[in-house]
Amino acid sequence: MTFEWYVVARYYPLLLKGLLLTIKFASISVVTALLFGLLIAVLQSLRVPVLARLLDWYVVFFRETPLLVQLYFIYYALPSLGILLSAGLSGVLAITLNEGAFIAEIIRGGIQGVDSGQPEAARALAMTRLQAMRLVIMPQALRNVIPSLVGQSSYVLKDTSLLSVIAIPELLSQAGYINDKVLSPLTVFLAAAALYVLLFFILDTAGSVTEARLSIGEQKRWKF
Amino acid sequence: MRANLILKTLVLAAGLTAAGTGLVYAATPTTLDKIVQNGTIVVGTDASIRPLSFVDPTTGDVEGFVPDLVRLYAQKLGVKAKVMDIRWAGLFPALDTGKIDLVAANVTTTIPRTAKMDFIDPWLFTGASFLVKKDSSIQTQADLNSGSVTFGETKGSVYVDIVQKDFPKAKVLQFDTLADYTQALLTGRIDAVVDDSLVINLSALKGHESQLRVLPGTFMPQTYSFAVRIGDNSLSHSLDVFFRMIKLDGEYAAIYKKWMGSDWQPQTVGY
Repeated sequence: MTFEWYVVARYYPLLLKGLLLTIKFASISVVTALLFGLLIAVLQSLRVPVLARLLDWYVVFFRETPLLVQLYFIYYALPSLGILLSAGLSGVLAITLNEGAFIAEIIRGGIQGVDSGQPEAARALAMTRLQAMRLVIMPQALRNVIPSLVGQSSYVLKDTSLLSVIAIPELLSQAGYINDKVLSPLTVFLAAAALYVLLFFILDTAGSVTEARLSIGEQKRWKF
Repeated sequence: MRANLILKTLVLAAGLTAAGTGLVYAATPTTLDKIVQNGTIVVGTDASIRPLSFVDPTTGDVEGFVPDLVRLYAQKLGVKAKVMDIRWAGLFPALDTGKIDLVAANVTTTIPRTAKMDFIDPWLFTGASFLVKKDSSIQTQADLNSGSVTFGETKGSVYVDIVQKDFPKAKVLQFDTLADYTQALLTGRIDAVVDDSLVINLSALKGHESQLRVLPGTFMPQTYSFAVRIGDNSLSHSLDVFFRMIKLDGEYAAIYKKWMGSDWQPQTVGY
């Protein structure tokens, strides 16, 4: 079993088609998961009595059940309850709910990491809780968790490969389809893996640029 | 002195090469030799389709048409059969890397695949059927070539390409298993499935007769083969002889009837 270049040369259009769909689902899901996670984290840190408890349950439930199970549930089980979502919507919804829970925890950690003098100072300046959150706490909290958020976004990117089980022809599906034709798993799955790595580098670069921009004006506290 | 040394070295090298060739020749038993010597044939099957090959939920053993054929061959060869359940995508790599000696499954015989594996004479001739929802507006095969029709097929099945070629206006979605496309059909995510007639009637339709129906008529002939590694000629020849024998002496017909529930009709297409 060797790497067969002719397979790549002949079937690259299919791989690219899959890659485009992976990019589409990854970019939509990264945005929705980040926004949803941010919303959950902000709501959680406001500690509204009943809502806070519900949100805690949501985070526990979606973090502690496998994404694949959630995906199967939304795609195959919800129709029996009369809710028939398209494959694409099912996929984005499952990834958003699952990764949103992880992202909410990351951002909550960032919020808690902000020095307690900051909200106190904001209150002393007569800011409302929402103003303090928006103008004082969140900018500091988010800046500190960007590396973690980039890391989690790479999970979102990799999660899209699970969409192959609900008949979405993304990168892994296309690789499988090509392999079924040519029976050269080493070649096709290595090629698919290389494309995922390429996407990760793009994501990682975007993250570094964002981080560099947001840290303008921030004092470096310590250095090795 | 130096010429002598070179000569000696050359003679030694020639001798070693000759001995080496002899050793290599003697030390390369065929896969069939190894099976007989070890007393075990290791077989890979995709146990996801009842009644062809499936895992018995009570015993955990792989049972069905294919395992019965394999065990009969092993018994006639005088060895034990070790039947492993490997999903389709893993079957060829397992064969290629020597983890299994034989792929025993419903592998559709296609010409491109002959470049990657040696096919045994087909063990099953069948046709393709269409499955739709009972209340579907689709009545004939002609209704299927439409932009509003979505087919569901299993990944790796030859029908993915066949649908694209013969029903170019329809869309095709690929699912992991037969259970997945059946579920998708029941919930209206897809409108039709084309698959092997036996698979459709004995597996997909089972238990859903009130919600699904099969379109009249079959669509195209289809042959299933076992496969061995390219070059394992003695093993493939042995299996060819085996299939001819059991088709003549009635043992194949008995296994067919046991799993398919109907009498075997011999095919006359040159085998």
